[in-house]
Amino acid sequence: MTSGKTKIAYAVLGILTVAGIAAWIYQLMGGLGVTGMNNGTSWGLYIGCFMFFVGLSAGGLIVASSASVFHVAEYKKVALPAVILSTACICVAGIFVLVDLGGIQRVWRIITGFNPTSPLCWDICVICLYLVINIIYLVFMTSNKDDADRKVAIVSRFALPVAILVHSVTAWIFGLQLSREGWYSAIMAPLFVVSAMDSGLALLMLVLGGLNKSGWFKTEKKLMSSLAGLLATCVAIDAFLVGCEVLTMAYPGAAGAETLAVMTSGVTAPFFWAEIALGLLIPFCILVFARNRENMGLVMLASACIVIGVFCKRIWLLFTSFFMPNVYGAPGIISGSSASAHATGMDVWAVVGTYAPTWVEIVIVIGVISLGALAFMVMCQKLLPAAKKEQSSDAPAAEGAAA
Amino acid sequence: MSGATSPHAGMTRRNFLKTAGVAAGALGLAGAASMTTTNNWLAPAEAHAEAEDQVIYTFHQTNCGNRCSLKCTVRDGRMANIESNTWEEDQYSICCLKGLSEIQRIYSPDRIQTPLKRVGERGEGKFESISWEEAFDTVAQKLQESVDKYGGSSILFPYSSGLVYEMPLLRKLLGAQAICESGIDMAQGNGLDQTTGDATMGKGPYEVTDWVNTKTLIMVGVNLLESGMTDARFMFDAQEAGCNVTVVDPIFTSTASKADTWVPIEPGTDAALYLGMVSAILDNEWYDEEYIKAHTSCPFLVSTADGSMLKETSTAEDGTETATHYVWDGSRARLMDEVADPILEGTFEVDGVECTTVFSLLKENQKNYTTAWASEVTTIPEDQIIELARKYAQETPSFLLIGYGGNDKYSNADIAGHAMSLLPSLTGNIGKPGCGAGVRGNHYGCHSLTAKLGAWALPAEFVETPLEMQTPLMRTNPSSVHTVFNLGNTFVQHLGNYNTTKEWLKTLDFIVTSDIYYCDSVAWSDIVLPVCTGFETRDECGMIQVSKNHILLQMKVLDPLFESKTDFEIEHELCGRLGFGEYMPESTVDYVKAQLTTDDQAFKNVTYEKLKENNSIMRLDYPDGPYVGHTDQVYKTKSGRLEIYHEGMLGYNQELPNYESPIEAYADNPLKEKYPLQFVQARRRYRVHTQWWNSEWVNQIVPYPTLEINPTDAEARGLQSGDTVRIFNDRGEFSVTCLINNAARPGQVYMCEGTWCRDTGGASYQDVTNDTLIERGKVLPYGANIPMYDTLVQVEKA
Amino acid sequence: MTRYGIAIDLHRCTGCHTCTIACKIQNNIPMGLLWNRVITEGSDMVDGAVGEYPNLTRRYVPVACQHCENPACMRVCPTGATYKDDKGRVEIDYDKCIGCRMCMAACPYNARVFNWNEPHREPDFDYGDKTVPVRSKGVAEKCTLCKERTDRGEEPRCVVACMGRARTFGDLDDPNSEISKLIAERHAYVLLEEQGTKPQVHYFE
Repeated sequence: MTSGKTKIAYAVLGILTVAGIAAWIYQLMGGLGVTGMNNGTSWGLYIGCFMFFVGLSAGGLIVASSASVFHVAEYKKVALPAVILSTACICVAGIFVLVDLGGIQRVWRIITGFNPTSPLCWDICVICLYLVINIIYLVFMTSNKDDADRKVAIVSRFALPVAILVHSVTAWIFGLQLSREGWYSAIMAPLFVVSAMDSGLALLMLVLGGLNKSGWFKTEKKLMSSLAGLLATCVAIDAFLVGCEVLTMAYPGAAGAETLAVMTSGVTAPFFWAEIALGLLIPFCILVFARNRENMGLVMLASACIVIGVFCKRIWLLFTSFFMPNVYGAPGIISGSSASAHATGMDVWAVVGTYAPTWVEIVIVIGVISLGALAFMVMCQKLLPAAKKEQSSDAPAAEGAAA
Repeated sequence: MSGATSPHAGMTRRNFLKTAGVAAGALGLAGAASMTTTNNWLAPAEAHAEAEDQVIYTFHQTNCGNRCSLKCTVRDGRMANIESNTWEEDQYSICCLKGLSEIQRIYSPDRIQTPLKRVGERGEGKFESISWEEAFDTVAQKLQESVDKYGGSSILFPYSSGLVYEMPLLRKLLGAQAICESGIDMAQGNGLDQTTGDATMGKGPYEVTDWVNTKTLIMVGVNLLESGMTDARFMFDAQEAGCNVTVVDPIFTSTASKADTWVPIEPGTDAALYLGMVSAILDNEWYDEEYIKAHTSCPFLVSTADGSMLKETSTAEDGTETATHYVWDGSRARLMDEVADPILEGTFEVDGVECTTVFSLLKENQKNYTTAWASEVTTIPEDQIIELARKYAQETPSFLLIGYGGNDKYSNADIAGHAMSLLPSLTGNIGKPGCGAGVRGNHYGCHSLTAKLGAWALPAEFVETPLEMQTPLMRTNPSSVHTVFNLGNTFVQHLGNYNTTKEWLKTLDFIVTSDIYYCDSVAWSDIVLPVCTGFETRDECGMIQVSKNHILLQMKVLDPLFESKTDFEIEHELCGRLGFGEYMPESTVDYVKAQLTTDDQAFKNVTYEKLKENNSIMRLDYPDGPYVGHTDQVYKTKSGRLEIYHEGMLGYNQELPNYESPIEAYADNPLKEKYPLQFVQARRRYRVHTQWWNSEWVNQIVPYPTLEINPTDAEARGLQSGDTVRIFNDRGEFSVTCLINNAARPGQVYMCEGTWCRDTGGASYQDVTNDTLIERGKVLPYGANIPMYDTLVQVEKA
Repeated sequence: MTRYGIAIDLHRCTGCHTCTIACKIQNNIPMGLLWNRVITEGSDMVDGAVGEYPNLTRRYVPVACQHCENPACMRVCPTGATYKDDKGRVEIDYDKCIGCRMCMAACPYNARVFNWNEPHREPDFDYGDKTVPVRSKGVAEKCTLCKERTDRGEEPRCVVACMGRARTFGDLDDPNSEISKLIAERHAYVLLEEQGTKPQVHYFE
C-alpha cells in the first residue's frame, strides 16, 4: 500500500476531480453561460489554462529529448519524470479545450469537416501527435528491451521539433489574428516556446523537488543546479522577447500603445507587472548567481515564481486583446451572458471587455488540474522505480510481477 | 412531412399561453389546440405539423404622431411577427422599433389581467382581483350615484391622446365632461393660431413631404428624428434636395447632429430669438412689402390712445364673426378691401382720433428687441441671429418648425408662438409650396386635416358638458367634478406638480381607470378595468383612424389576452347597465360602418369591405402631392388675413409680442441659488410618453430612465455615470440614475418624459414640475399651459 | 457571381435601433443577444456626443456581420461551420458548430454572438420568420444577411425597416446595381479596412 500522505493526496485530488466533473456536468446542462465569459470576452480561464498547460508540458519533453538529441547525458537521468510530467500536462491542456467547447457533442465535426486553414485544427493535430510521442517515449523509456535506448534516441529526434511546434501552433491560434492588436505578432510563437521552456522547466524543477522529498525519485543537486542555469537562460530570453514585443507596441504610439496602456496601467496591469516581477526579474536575479543555484530553497522559490509569473503572462496576453473592441462606441457589445438575458439596459452591454471567472469555472479548473495531478502520481507510481518500490513495499505479491 | 423539415424539429416548445393562463387562440389554426395543452407530445403526429401563418393587417395605435400600417403574422394563436405594411407611400411602409417590439410588450407581465378593486388607501396600489360582473356593477352604480346626486357634469373623463376609442358614447349619454389634455401641447399655438386663425393648437396645415421644396428649414425645439421618427426620411430627402436645415435647441439632439447648423440656445428664450430675427428683418428691409400689405394686418389702423383697431365687424348667420379693417390710403382711412396699396407706416388722424398702423407699432415695439438684446438673452451670437433671419427671409421657400416639447412647456410659450408668427407673416413664407410655420402636422395633418368622418348617432339630448375649467385648475378650485373615469395614465402625464394632483385625487368620490398596463394612474383608482391592446379585439375589427391622407382600419389580430376587454366592450356593458343599451351599436363593425357613412367626398370610395380587401389601408380621395394650406392666402381670422396684432391681448400688453422671461427657469432667478439647474423632460425615440417603459426589447437597448447632465455640472456634484441621483425642489423629489452626457447643456438636466414611478425611486418626475398657470391663460384660445420645463431643481448623489 | 452586400448612408442613420429590433424579430433572436447594433461612435454612452459643449459631433454606426470577402471567421473555423455561400454571404451551419468561439476571437468587428445559455425568449416562443433555423445553446450566430429573405428575392429586414432609408441592399458584382453605383459615387468606405477582410458592408456619408 502507498504511504499515508500519498493516500491523503489521492483522496484530496480525487474529491477535487469529482467536484470538477460535477461542475462540468452543471456547465453542460446550463451552457457556457454559467461561466464568466461573454460575447466581448469570448475566451476565459479555460483557454488561459490551456495556453499555460501546453507550455508547462514543454519543459519536460524538451529536457528529455535534448538529453538524447544533444547527448546531454546528465539530463537523461531526469528524462523519465520529465516525460511523465509532460504527458500529464498535455492531457490537462487538451481537457481545457474540451471543457471550453459549447457543443462538445458535435466535436467529431472537426474530423469530418476538417478545415486546414484553422489554427485550431493544426493545434489539435499537433497536440495529438505530441501526446502520442510522449506515450511512445514513456513506453520506450520504461522498456526493458535492449534496443530501448536507441529507440528513445530516435523518438527524441521527433519529439524536440514537435514540442517546439506544439507551442508555436498554440501561439498561432492567437498570433495570426489580425483583429486582436495584442496578439497579432510574429514574436508570438518564439515567445510561447520560450515561455513554455521556462515555465515547463520551472515546473519540472518543482516536481523533481517534490519527488525528491517524497523519495519517489532522487535527483542530484548538481543536476538541479545545472537545470537552474538553463532556466536562467530561458528567463533571460523570455525577458528579451517580451521587451522586443513591448517596444514594438509602444514605439509608433498608435493602436499598439493603447493596448499596451491596458496592460501596463489598465485592467490587466496587475498581471503584466506580476509577470515582469515574478516571471522575469526575481527569478533571473536569483538564478543568475551560481551560488544561488546551489541553494535548493532559492531554486524552488525562483521556479515557483516563474510558474506563477508565466500564468500571469497567459492572463494578460489573453485578456488585454479582448478589452478594447476595434469598433468603439456605446452601447458596445451585447454581453449574451446568463444575467444579460434577463437584464435590461446598461447591464446587457459592455463598451469595453469585462470578465471574471465564476465559481463553476474555478471548480472545473481545479478539477482538471487535480485530474492531471492524479494522472501524474499514478504514472509516477507505475513507472518510476523508486515509487514503484514504495507502492509495492506493502504488497510483496505485486513486487514479483513488477520485477 | 412538414414536421420533419421544420427548423423547429426536435426543439422543446415552451408554452407561453399555457403558463399565462390564457385560453387558446380561437383562430381556427391547425395545431393551435395541441400547442396550448400540456400533453401535446401525446397528440397525433399531424398536430405537430407547423400551423400555417395567418397574416392580418391592422395599424399601430399609439400617439407618437404616426399611425403605422402593420402586417402581423399569427402563428399558433400568438403574435409571431410584426412588419410594416408594404404601401406605395413611404409614410405607410414604415414601423419603428416601438411598433416592432409590441410582439413582446403585448405579453408583458405588466398587463392588468383581471378587473381590480382597491383594498388599501387610494394611491397605495393595493388591489384584489374581482370578476367583471362585480366591476361593471360597481362602476355603473357609482356613475349612476354621481349623476343622481350632482348631475352628469360631476363625471370627468380624462383620456390619453393615444386612445383611438375614448368611450365617446358613454360620455355623451351621461352628459359628462371630457378632456384629452388641458394645458399641454397647445401653448405656442396660443400665439401662432391667433395670427393664422387656425384652430389646430399650432399644427400647421403642411406636410413634411413638402420639404423637398424648402430651401431653409429652421427647427426650433424640435427633435424630429426622435419625436417624429417616421418622418426622418423626409428630412433627409429634403436635405438631399438642397434644403438647409438649422436646429435651434439647448440640447445636442439627434436632429441637431444631422442638421447643417446647430444653434444652442438658452432654454425658454425662443421668443427672444424670434424677436431678434424680426428686428433683423425689419432693420434690413428683408420683409416682403407687397405681401404684408395684401395679406397681413400690418397696414391696419390702430388708435394710438387705447390700441383698439379701426374696423367694421359683422356676424354671419352661423355665428362666425368677420371684421373689415381700416387702412390709410395716403389721404384718408378706407376699408381694407378698397385700397390696393395701403400706407404701411405713419401717424394719421381719423375722425379726430390719432391713429397709426400695426406695422408702425411693430417697428416701434421692436426697438426694445434689438438683435444685440436677443443675443444677450438667448446666448446666440448676434451675427448668427442676423444670418438666420437673412436665410429665413431670403433663401426661400422657408419653413419654421416648432414642437410640442421645447418652448411649449414654458410659461412664455404663447409669446413665442406669437413672435414666431411674425416671421412668415413678414416674409410671406406661408401658403406656398415649401413654406410653413408651426408644429408638424402629425397624423392629423395633410389633406386629411379637414376629413369629416360620420358618427354613430345619439338622440340630440345626449351631449357632453363642456369642460368647466382646465383640469389643472380643478385640483385647487371648487368644481362640479366628483367622479373620474380615467382612460390611460392621465394623472401623471397630463398634470404638473404631482403632489397637488394627489391631494385632489384623494378628495374625489370615485375613480375608475381603464388601462392596459399597470401604470402610475392605476394606483389611484378604486376600480381598475383591464383593457386589451390594439391588437386584440372581440369583434372582427376595432376602430378606424384617419391619418395623413389615409384611412386605416384596426383588425382583430388576437383574441383579448387574459381577462381584458376592449374599451368598446366596456362602454357597451356599462351603457347596458345604466339603461342606455338601446343607443349603443352592437359591435365595433356597426360603429365603424356608421363612421364611414359621411358626406365628405374624400371617403367616396371607402367602405368597410373595401378597407378589409385593401389590407386595412386606403388613400382618401385627395389630390396627389403634398398638402399646402393657405394657398389662397385666406386665413380663418376675422379679417381673413394674418393678424399679427392680437387685439384681444391688449389688457396683457401682448397685442404685439412683448418678451417675458420664463416664470421660473430664467437666468437671474434668485431661486437658482437653491436650485441652480433647469429640468427638462424630453421625448425620446425609445418611448411614447408613459408607454414602452415595460418593453423588454427596448429596455435591452436603452435602459431605464436616466437623467442626463453635462460633465461640468456632474463634476461639481461629484457625480459619475450610473450614480443614483436625487432631483428635488420645494415641490418634491424623485430619484433616478444619472448619465454624464456632453450633449447636455450646462445648467440644464434632462430626462425622457413619461417615466414610471417604479423607475424613479417610487416618486414621479412630475413631483418637481412647475404647474403655475399664467393669468393670460384666461384670454388665450386654449387656456394657460402647464410650464413643465419651467422648473428649477437641484441634483445630488442619492 | 452574385456578391450581396449592404451600403449604409451614415448621415441618414438616426441611431434609432429599429434595424436592431427588426433583425431580432425576423431572426427569432433571444434576449441577451443581437445580431445588429447601432453604436454611438467613440462615445461610452448611447446617444452621447464627442467633444465639449457646444462643439460637439455625433455619429451613429450600425454594425453587424460585414460579410467579408476575406472572412477571418471562416478561415479559423475548425469544422467548416462558417462558410461563404454562392451569393457572397458569410453563413453558419449551426449543426457543424462546436462552439469553440475561434471565430469570435478572429472577427475584428465583434459581429458574432454566442448562445451561452439555452436561449431565453420574451415572449416565450419562437417568433419571426419560421424558415429561419432555431439555434440551440453552444453555437455562435450572427447576421445572415437575412439569408431566408434574400433567397426569396426580398431585401434584408434591416434594409426594409430602416427609418431613414439609410440602407441599400444589392449585388456588388453587378456594376449597374444601385449599391455598386452608390459605393462608387459616394466614396463609400469599409470598417477597419486595414484588417484586410474586405467587408461587403459599405458606409458613406
